[in-house]
Amino acid sequence: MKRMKIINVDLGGCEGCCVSLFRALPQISQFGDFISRYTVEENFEISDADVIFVTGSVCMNDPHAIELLKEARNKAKILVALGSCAVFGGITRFSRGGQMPKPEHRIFSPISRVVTIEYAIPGCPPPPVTIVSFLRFLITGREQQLLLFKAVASLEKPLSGFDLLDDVVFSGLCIGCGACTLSCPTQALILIERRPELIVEKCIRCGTCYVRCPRASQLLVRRYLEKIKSKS
Amino acid sequence: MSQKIVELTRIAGDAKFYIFHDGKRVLRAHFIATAPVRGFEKLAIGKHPLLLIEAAMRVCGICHAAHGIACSEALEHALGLAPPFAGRLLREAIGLLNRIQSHLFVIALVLGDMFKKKELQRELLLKIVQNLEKINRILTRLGGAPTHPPYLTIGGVLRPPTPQVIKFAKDNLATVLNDFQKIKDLHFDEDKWSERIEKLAEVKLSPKFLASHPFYGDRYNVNPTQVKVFTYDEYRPDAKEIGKESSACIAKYGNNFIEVGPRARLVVYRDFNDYRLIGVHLARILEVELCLERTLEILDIIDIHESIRAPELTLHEGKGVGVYEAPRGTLFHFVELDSMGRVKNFKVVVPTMFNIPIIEKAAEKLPPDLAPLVARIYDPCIPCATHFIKV
Repeated sequence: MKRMKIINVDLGGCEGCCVSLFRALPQISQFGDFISRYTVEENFEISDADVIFVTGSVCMNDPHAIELLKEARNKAKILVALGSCAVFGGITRFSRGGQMPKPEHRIFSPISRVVTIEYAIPGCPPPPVTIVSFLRFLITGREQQLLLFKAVASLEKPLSGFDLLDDVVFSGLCIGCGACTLSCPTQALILIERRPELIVEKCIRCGTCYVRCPRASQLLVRRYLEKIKSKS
Repeated sequence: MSQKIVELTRIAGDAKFYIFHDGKRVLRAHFIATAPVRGFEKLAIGKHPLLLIEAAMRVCGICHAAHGIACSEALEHALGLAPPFAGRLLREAIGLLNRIQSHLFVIALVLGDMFKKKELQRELLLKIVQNLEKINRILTRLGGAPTHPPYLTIGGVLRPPTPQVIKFAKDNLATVLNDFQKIKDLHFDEDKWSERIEKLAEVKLSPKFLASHPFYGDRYNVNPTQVKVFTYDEYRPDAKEIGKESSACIAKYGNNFIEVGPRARLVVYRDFNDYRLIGVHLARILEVELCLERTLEILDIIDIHESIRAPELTLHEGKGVGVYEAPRGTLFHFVELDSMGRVKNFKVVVPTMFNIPIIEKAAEKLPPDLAPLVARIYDPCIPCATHFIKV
């Protein structure tokens, strides 16, 4: 098994996802060499890599962030959006700018709006076990298990708890398993008589519930496969 | 005079250090944060207070619970609420676990500078990551998640721990405390220090210190009206061009630049008097032990059958301030609610905003190659510091 070179490039998020990667370091080092701003002595530079994990949403008003993201794209064989900010925009979708000393920083977008990505792993932050499982699937070529991450990467519209209600709960597909309530990082979902209820004030638009829902994830994969089929 | 620009690594977030030197000594240093301004204070306007707590925790993925607690305290002050005794204790335990997490993380990042021997660095790194995971598992059970713990809420904590959770937490904390003794002893063994750390130990700096509480935070032990915020170019008019690049701001307490953080807490509340630059890091090590002991004490006295959340929550107009001792020092959250109980104004002043001038001052006492190390020792947090609203 060839050892991979894995890099983390952060676009200026909360650092939670970078810390998740750091926490997974003992397991990641079984798959390859890991480089991030936390592991190098001085002057972190993006070099050619097998996998680059991008964390944080991209500020569309910050040319430096956009350049950094494009550089990551050019240097990566596989580019992965890690965490809900990079995947869907997350909490930064609420940003409205106007705040000193950079009032021009107004629009924060998922990184797929700027570059093509191969995989997306939502979560606020994604736990180390998810990152390690993803790398294991990747290195052992388990395409079936990677389909969901590919499907999320291909989405044009970000997901949230509202989409879960519309697509799964209100349409009668919900089986009341509670996976959404367990995965919600803000406890915005509660199960009432085996039906998820969304506390709308607490939803941060991370989309984790949608991807963890067994029914919604099936929908995502099926739509993705249909899209591929229609293109070919 | 020569100029050197160092992109700092092994700190939380993106920052550059502009170093002006004569080859032997730093003459002038500028700490410039370069991360984008996500604008949480503006983002919060018009939002429900419950979302505000979730948003505040996402200011930082390292000191998440500190922001959650400071924000809850500010909202409770605005609404005339207080958490019950057990809720307050549980919140303190969650905050202390976050402080231990953050300190262990920084100790791991500084290992490469700290010790001469690579094998020792590797051995300690593994030990620290293992203990960090134990702390994460405890925080998951007590706070709901290891990062951005969702059980923190207005008026207390959402869910009480079960007796099994208390036992799990106590057992694991005891093993972490035991393991940490060796880590602590090695850090205090000056024979094992690297040459760079030895040089850092030769320089002293004793600025004014500010701390509000050894373990939690107390708005009555400090004066929040004394907090003043400046843009970087207002603070350093001698570096206007460089200052324009900065996405962080600077805070003063009264007319003074002050140091906040682990050393400040130990100087104010304990008999700590190590004013060497390395003293900041040694204070951090001592604080981990103190926090582990205090968390164990809390778990001994907490009655899980008592109420942990204020019984009623009525949203109305109000103003409040939350002061909390975050891992990096005193954190201020100012909140104003409108007549519907929605957020009208929100301001955050974080410890790194106080510490940036101290980091620059400390660098001026060193040779140019040691300047980045002093920034790392002070543990600045860039995601927190990229905020600016005049207070």
